Amino acid sequence: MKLENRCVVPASRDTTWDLMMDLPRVAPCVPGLSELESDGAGCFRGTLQAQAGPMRVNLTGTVRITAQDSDRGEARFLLEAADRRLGGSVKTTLDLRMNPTDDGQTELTIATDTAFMGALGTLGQPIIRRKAAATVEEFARNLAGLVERSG
Amino acid sequence: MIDFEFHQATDLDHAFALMSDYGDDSRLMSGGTALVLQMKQRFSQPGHVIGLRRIPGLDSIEETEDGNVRIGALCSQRQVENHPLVLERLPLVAEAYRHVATPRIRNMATVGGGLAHGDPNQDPPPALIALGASVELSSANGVRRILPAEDLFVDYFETDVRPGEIVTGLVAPPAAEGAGTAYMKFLPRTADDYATVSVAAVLTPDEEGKCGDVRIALGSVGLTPIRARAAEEALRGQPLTEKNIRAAVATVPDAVDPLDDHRGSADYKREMAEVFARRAIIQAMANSSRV
Amino acid sequence: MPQRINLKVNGEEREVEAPARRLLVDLLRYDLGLTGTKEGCSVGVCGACTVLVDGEMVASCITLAASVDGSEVTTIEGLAHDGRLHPVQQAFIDYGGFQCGICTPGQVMAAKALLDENPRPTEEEIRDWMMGNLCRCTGYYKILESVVAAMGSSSANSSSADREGQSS
Repeated sequence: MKLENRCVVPASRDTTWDLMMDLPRVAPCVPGLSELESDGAGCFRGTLQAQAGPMRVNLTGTVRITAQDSDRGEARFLLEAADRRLGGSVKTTLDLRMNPTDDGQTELTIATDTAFMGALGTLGQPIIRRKAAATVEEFARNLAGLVERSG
Repeated sequence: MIDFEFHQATDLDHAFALMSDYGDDSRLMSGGTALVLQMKQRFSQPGHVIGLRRIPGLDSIEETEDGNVRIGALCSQRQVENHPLVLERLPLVAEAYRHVATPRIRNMATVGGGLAHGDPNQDPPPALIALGASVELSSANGVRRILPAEDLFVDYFETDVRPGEIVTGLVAPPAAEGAGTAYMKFLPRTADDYATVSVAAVLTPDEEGKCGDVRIALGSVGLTPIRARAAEEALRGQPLTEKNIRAAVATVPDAVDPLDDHRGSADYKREMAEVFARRAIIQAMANSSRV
Repeated sequence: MPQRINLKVNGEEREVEAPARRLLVDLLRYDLGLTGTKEGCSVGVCGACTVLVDGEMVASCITLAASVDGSEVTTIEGLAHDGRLHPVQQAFIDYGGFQCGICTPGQVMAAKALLDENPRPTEEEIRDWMMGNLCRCTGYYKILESVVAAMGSSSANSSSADREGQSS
């Protein structure tokens, strides 16, 4: 399933880039994400909790940066996670694009392509889209807060 | 289904004690039609299930002192649809419950369980919202909270029932003198399906045929049941002409926010919401003693 | 976690030790060997698993056995008495209310529940009630005819006496 969501980060593209590439720093902005730990080799392990309708999901897995191009402001992440209790897993390719806006801020585009396996595949796509859009909005608000706090 | 412990609550205090013992790891069950399915699908995997069905005193339907009808949370949905007091005082509520699934499911499913389930595709919530019904929530030590049905539904399958609370009843006022009511369910697939779009309307024409009080609520067209406030606003005080009704329901597509699914695309449902809102208004007028 | 479940099934007290997740349909079929009750859709839609709990029809595929502990359960095996079929069963035979048979126990239990509650239903009431029992063979007309016929004979509950010979 492919999703694309956009938000505006109140910071220059360079600042946004540095922030986004520093996963432990940006992690608290992701709603429901906890315990992001580095394995020291560019891979991070964490747990994401989310609720979509009747389903409560508890995904544990890894995220790593697989490609980055700071000149173009583009980076690709690979996320692999599973909910063992629920009996399902996801594999997501996440592309970030950062474009400067006319007023010196940054438009952040988050495009994901996700394969749902097992029980997670039974949840309807429309509701996942809604939840993903709401999650990105909340992420953007948190990110803006982080940018402001770090001045 | 992953195994769990089942606890049959013998009364409300027992249920509250079990809820406090098991907290987040527990789910309440009355009829079980929703929860057992969720557990089978592994959507929900509680370590403890607290059965409410044997709690005494929550399965009666009676008139309150101020003329409303109180329906206990453990009444089966069939009990509601067939009860003489509901048929006489709240025909809209009886009608809405009669549209739920099949008689077998309505035997099992309870009023309180249905409300706590928070499924936006259910039949009763639009009718309850249009009538201005309230939900009674109880928690330990005799604490009660009364919530307009409209405020119960906060998100997709999410309600404002807070931890430690149990839905114990529903209180609905009969429609005003001279009011007409209607519940329309658009069912293009099978008769026992959830609605593609559903609309409940409660409308009181005044002596001159102008629209007095009016409430319109829709189901299956968003993450929660939705009230068509702009349409109500546009109708209130206006002569109930076809032109005015059409103009009022033209606001409905903007008020709803449907999901695409196998019952129809979001665009289709948005359009059908307008069509069925109009039909519900016309049906409510026809059911009024004043027009 | 296993727990003791006591049910009065077809008039007989039964005690079963089963985990809390045991569904009523599975308890009937596997713990008690009453395989007359069928499981179709497993989600409470098709009606094949219909049984009566304290006289009310339920979908046993979405009923936790533990949740009806202490209840009276009637299954298809409990309808015939002293070698005589229940009038609904007899009517389904006489009027061809089944073909492959998988939905039949559920159809019969649903029809019995209807006639217990409303001995003289209109055709529309029968259709409305039986709507939740799916059949992929008969096209429903024969089922409707069977229920109408059962209605005619069930008032006395004795008209099947002359058909006793057919019922074994």
